[in-house]
Amino acid sequence: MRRVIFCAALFVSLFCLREAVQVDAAGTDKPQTNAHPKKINPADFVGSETCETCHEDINKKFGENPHSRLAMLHGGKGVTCESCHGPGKEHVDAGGDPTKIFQFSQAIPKEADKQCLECHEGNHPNFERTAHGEAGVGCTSCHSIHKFKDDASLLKVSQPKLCYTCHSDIKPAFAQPFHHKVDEGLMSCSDCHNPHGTFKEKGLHSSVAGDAVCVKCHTDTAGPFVYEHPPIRTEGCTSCHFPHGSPNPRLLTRNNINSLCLQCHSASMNFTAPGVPSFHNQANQYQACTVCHTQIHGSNADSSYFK
Amino acid sequence: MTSKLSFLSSLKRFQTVTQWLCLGALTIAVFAAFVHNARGQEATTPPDEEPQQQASSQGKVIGGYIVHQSVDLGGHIAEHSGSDPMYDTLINIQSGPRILDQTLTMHAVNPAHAIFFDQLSSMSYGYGGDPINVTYLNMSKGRIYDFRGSYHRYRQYFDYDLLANPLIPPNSNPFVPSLSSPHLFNTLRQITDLNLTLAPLSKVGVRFGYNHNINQGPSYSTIHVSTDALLYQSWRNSTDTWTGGVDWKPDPKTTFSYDQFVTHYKGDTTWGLAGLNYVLSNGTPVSLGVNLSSVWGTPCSAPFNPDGTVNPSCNAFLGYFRSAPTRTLFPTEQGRFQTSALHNFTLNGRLLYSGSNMSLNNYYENFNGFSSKSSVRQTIITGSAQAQRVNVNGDIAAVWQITPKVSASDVYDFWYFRIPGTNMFTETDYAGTSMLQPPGAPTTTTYGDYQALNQKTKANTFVMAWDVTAKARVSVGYRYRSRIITNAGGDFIPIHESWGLFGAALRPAPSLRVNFNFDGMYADNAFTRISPRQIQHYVVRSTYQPHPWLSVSGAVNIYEARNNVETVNHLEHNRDFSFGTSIAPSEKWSIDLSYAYDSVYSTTTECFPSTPPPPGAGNAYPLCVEEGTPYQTNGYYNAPTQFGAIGFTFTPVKLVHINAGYRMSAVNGNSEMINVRQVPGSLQSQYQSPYGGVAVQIWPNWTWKGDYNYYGYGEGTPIGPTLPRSFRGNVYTLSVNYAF
Repeated sequence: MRRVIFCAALFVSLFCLREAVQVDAAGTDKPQTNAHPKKINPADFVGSETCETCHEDINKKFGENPHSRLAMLHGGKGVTCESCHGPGKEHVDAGGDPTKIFQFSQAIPKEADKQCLECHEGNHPNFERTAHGEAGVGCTSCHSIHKFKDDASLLKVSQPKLCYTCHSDIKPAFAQPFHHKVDEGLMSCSDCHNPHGTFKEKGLHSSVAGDAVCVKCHTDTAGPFVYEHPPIRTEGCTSCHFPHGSPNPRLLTRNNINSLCLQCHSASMNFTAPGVPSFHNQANQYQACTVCHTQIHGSNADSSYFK
Repeated sequence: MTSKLSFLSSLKRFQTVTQWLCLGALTIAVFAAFVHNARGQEATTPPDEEPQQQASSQGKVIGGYIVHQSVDLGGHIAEHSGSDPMYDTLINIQSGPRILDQTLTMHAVNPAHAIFFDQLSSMSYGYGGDPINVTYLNMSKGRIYDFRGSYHRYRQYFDYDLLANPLIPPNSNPFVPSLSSPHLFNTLRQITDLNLTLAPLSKVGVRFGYNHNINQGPSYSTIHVSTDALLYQSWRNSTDTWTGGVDWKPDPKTTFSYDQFVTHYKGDTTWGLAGLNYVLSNGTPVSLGVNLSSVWGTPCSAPFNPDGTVNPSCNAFLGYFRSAPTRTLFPTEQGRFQTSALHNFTLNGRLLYSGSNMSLNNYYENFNGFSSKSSVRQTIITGSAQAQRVNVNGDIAAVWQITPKVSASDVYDFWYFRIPGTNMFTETDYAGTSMLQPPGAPTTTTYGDYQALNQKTKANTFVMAWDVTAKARVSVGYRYRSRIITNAGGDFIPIHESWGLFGAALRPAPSLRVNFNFDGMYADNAFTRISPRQIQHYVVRSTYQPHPWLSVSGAVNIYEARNNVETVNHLEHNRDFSFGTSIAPSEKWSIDLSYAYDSVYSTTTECFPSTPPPPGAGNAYPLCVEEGTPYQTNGYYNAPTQFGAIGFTFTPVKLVHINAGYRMSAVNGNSEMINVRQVPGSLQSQYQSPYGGVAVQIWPNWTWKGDYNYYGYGEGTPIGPTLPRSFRGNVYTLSVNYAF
């Protein structure tokens, strides 16, 4: 019933879309963007045509930049350069003195981030309190409006090379024999991690149903199953697998499956995982646990995950 | 003189009107052809009022769009020696023609005149036979819509022959080693992602999305019914996800979002019997399973008759089929909000509810063979199963900029899931004592089960950050997390974690950044024996870029964890030391260097039965002895890994570009041997891949490319009773790139 109400509300709101698409012309009382905390005098804006007189190269390429849409705001009279760099009158009057205008390359990360988040905070609300934000890895550490290599996200360098410049400890994992195919281009770091932060640890995404991001691709492990393998749900896939790369097949944390399983399935006080039964004589023959316990991610038919 | 006169005479003869006219016509024709070809490159010159564009790397103007296109056509010549299965598992690049790369970008000259889109970009690669094929398509039209689409196709081949390999003793009679992994697979995964945002700049934006994920293909599996039979598993599962969302920005600093997701999973994988390598005395094919060994007495003490046919009273399979068609629906609702409208205060949160339902309505399993343990000749199982998952996530975060230099943040996370499930099966067992006889009297039983797994997690993280100076920031925080895990068996496991968080971000110079983070955790309980009760995690990262052409980075990442309670003694660490540098002083040359050392280590007390015990095993603690698992080891695993990479590019002249490099990853580890037949395998291996390439612009817009990649994998330990896993591969890639 709740879903029906939600869907009805959504349907009704769509009728408001037509009117909402009409962007209000900017008046002095309702600006679309507000790049600076101090009061802005509209007369201090000189317009991108003025910027073009000295910065012709940058202006010429700006048409390829998604930010050129800023020109469509304010009834088509929107500012572009000054939306980010601030009013340019002082800079122009001073003969192009770079200290009279906001320079991203000279600003501390937090100040530079503030400029970008004026518009993008809706999409990246977690940024400043997350690992990158707290570490001073700001927007311009990865993105460049004017010299980008990646069209889609305006990245200075494409993934994963961009990420490896700081995460040099992760690069070796993708060079191991068994690894997720990031270097080969099948997937990218941002398929699993959100560099702008999430509510999860390590900036991980979650699946649409709130599960681990792994099940977005490995859908057969999503369940729900009648017989869940509990640590998969409670501790995560990394109980048994390295997420980036491993010398071991299937990205397992151990080279021998039995040793991996016995880590949990040894008789112990205060742990619910059953110990290995007495008839599993390890010397009788060489037999991996998963030869019998094949449905190890969960089963609907057998409590021992045989099928 | 005579020769000169002869020449003049010849010239006079040539100087007939007709001959001159022909020569002139030929000259004019050649000239005209040259001019025509030159102008042909400008055949699409736009009308006079728009700027003339040359067909060059700057793009052409076509139909009001600045168009850049390029296509890389060529192919691979691949040859390899050694283990074909390992080459296919790790590399899987075969010979053949390819569309190696394709790009297209279109930008409207005047967006006001563009009808369907202002910007379009597309990129594809790998088509024609590579294991990885990818296509991206992005389109947008001003403030009307944004579209992003992608398609990924991945051929996954896996045959690491040690995985699940029974390592049949060579002194078995007969000796039938397993030369492939019994869990080999050759599947194809295809993922399509489509996302459309309407009115992205307006106060109300609408989003639609569709994701299709399908994984299918043949693989091997196994099933245990007194012995372990090899099964042919036909993978077939697909997931469709539909997304609808609305974003409402009542003011420029506040956004409310609602998302509706519906995911539908279809699992249609089936299993059938493989490995029918033997026959009964009546000629019926039969499978003795993957563990045929006279040393172990499997699948029975005397599997063969004197005439070589199979003993009809041995554990064996005549047939097997299993089908478990599963349908799961995951409808999920998510609400999010974000606001920074309050002065110096930002708030954001989300609430997610997902209630999924799994139904398996027509489970069918048929075993035909003989199981000596239960004297069963045939078993047929039918039934059904249902499971639900209720998943609730609630998160809220607030950041308060108390003063310009001091801020505080608090994040509260709530996560609850409940997974109840039931099943009901009817099993009919047909008695028998010989596979030469038909199944005997049936016995039918009905059984069902109810299970549930639940977890409730609440966590609160509070952090204070202080910008000591513009160049130094320090943060200190505390996190408390509470988890309660329960199940249908009545288990109740409360876990309370306390975390101390510390961070420092130093920027002594604009070109130098140093970050330090420390997380320390203590928990009063753990759910599994390897879940840590104590964690210390230290991370130091530094990047230094004194010049635009020189950057150096390094990281030290040390993770220490333990659950060192009695009978467990779990210790683990992951200590990584790495650095990288990039030197690119000019467009002519550049060098990249990387090195890393990573030490992965863990020990956990493991107890198990073993007759005889492996070397180094000790007597287990009393609880294990009571459970019939009298031996223990410390479960030692040590995998120190080194990684090195060097790459350089060189452009001696503008039209020639050369690149080369070398990558190597080597692990030299060891682990506790639970079974004497165990081999370290991948734990002592090297994986290297030098490469080189040259690109020569042979004509404006035309570039010839040649690339060479070498792949080498080797293991430095005994192979075991299976095939060697080392290989060497050479892949030559030749292509022509045309940019137009």
